[in-house]
Amino acid sequence: MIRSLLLVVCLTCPAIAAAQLAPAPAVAIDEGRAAAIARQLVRIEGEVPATWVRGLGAADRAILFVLAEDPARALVVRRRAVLALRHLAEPAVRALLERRASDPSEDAIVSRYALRALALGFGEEAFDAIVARLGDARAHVREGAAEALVLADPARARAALEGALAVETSPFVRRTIERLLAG
Amino acid sequence: MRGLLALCFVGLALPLVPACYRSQSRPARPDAPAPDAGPDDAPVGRPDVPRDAPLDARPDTPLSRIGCRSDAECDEGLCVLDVREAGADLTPAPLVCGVAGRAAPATECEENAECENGLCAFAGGCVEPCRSDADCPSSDRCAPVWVITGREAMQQVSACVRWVDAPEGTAVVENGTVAVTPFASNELTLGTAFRPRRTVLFVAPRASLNRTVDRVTLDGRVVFDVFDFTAAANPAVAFFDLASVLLPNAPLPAGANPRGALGVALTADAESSLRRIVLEYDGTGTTLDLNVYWLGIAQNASRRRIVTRMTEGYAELLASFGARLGRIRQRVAVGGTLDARAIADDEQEAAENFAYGAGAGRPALDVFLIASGTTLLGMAGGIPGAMTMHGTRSSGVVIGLDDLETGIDGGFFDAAYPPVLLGHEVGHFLGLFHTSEADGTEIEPLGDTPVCDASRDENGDGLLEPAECAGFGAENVMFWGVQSSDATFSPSQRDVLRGAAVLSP
Repeated sequence: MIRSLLLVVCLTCPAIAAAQLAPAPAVAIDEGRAAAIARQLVRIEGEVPATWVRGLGAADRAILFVLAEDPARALVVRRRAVLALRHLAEPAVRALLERRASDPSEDAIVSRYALRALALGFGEEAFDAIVARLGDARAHVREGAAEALVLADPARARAALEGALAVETSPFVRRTIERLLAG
Repeated sequence: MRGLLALCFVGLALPLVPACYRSQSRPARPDAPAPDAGPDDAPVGRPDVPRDAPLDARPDTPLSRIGCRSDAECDEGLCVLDVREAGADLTPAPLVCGVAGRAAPATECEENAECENGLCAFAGGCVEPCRSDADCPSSDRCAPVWVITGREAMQQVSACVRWVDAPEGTAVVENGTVAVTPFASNELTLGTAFRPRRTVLFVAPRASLNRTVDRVTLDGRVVFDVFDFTAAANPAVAFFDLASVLLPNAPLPAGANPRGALGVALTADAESSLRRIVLEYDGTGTTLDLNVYWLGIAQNASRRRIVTRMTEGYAELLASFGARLGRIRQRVAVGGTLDARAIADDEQEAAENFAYGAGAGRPALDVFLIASGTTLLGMAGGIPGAMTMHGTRSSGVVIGLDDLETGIDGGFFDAAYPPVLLGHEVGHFLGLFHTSEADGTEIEPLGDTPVCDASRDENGDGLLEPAECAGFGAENVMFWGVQSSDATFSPSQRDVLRGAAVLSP
């Protein structure tokens, strides 16, 4: 009931939400360098090392942000960029990851990897943002949220997962939650 | 007797005719796979089944109400899929004593109704249910197998699957258990000399635990030492829960006796008994068959085109070392499995996909297609992988097809890149290491592959990019970050690939 009232009363919410979810404004970047960074991100095997990400200069970090958020980039690049960002423990990164995780129009795998990056990069600080995605309309995101919760804060994850299991309808998401609860 | 059996199967007999049960006897297992049943690359699926009908709905099938988990529990008939109760996606398959099809275990199949136990593994072979290894022939293990039981349902059953599906030209020299001391380095002497063109050793687990190859010796001479990895003449790695060693995977060190005794020192966690399988391959094979599993990603026209391009282009890479692509059998997952296996959050989860190859029943290399992996565009189950073995956590290669597709659509990959990706992963599976690693270190011992060492790191970021390694390995299929669609193998690499025990004559 309260939720319904809020939905009715908050006439400006959609606009606020849209502004929060929208990618950061585009910035001009060196496309040649962006291509080189993208090539490093999209490895055949393994992830780009944390030391490499942390060693990026300000201009390269800006490129990484663009690669993660720019919907015109190849999805495989965006997915890897989102994951790589977890190595930068900055508020702007956390905000970007939360945007990508919660944007309903986002590629589900980008959102899922954003949840994983939040969990691995920000731990229990990101717990509440991850819990919120247990109610996402996209099943892969819900499953990713369940997995990420355990990474973020195993002690608090159980109660959230039990609550999610009670309402989860997707068989494969249920299976994942049951596996996580079984330890 | 055959006439009576025929009556049972064509449905003229009444349900639960005891004679039908008693007449069921287990025929000998076929030594070789069944002949091709259809076009080389025809996806299997079940086109003959109406979309609104449960699979294998055969009201005339004589089934009892007696539950079972192995044939030994059935006084009459065999332990078969209960088609009346089957169809609950992602749950254990229901089994009862009864009668199903005619095909013996390990026979290739398309549908459950073909098989004696009514169980056609997702991987494409008939299987017999079991409670434990004791229910299976000594050549088999009791392993989880997935079976398609409905239009949108895959269910799991424990079934006997062969440890090894060896092609002609590959002899199984050993296939038994060996006692080991947990958490200690165990010296295992192979009961074979270094005789054939290639010898492959596998030490397989009974549980999912970690193991490490510590040392490999030839006639007492160390050719690999995990504590001196870069000096290895024949490097070995253990991935996941199965240690595999390919010998030789490089020219023998000077002075080594090519007919000397082989030894492997191995550490395994918490297990006192391991399965040891030794294969000897005579090098006569030229044909590589593939099982392509659409496991975590649905088919569509665009993806089929990419996979076709991938396999056709890979055939050209095979031709470069005198081999050819044989039969490609495609299997298509249904129901929640497509979602459950879509994304691999890490390498361990990626390796879990290989379990779906259990029960393939033919000597082919398993290629699993999923949507995406956090740490992979592709991954091999080992260097080498578990050649000739299906369903272990080292049995196959996995490709993130949605990542590949979006990379092509977004202009990041050349449309000709997919065969190179497959060639890279299959290269690992067949025993090849990277020409040099991302930081410039070299593990691979082959003399004719270019090395891109740290001195070429022009921008000093610690990673050797393809552009920095141009002319120094970036054009090789096994370059760590290969992105060239024109990449090739070196002659020594081709020699290792030709030694793959999964090639058939």
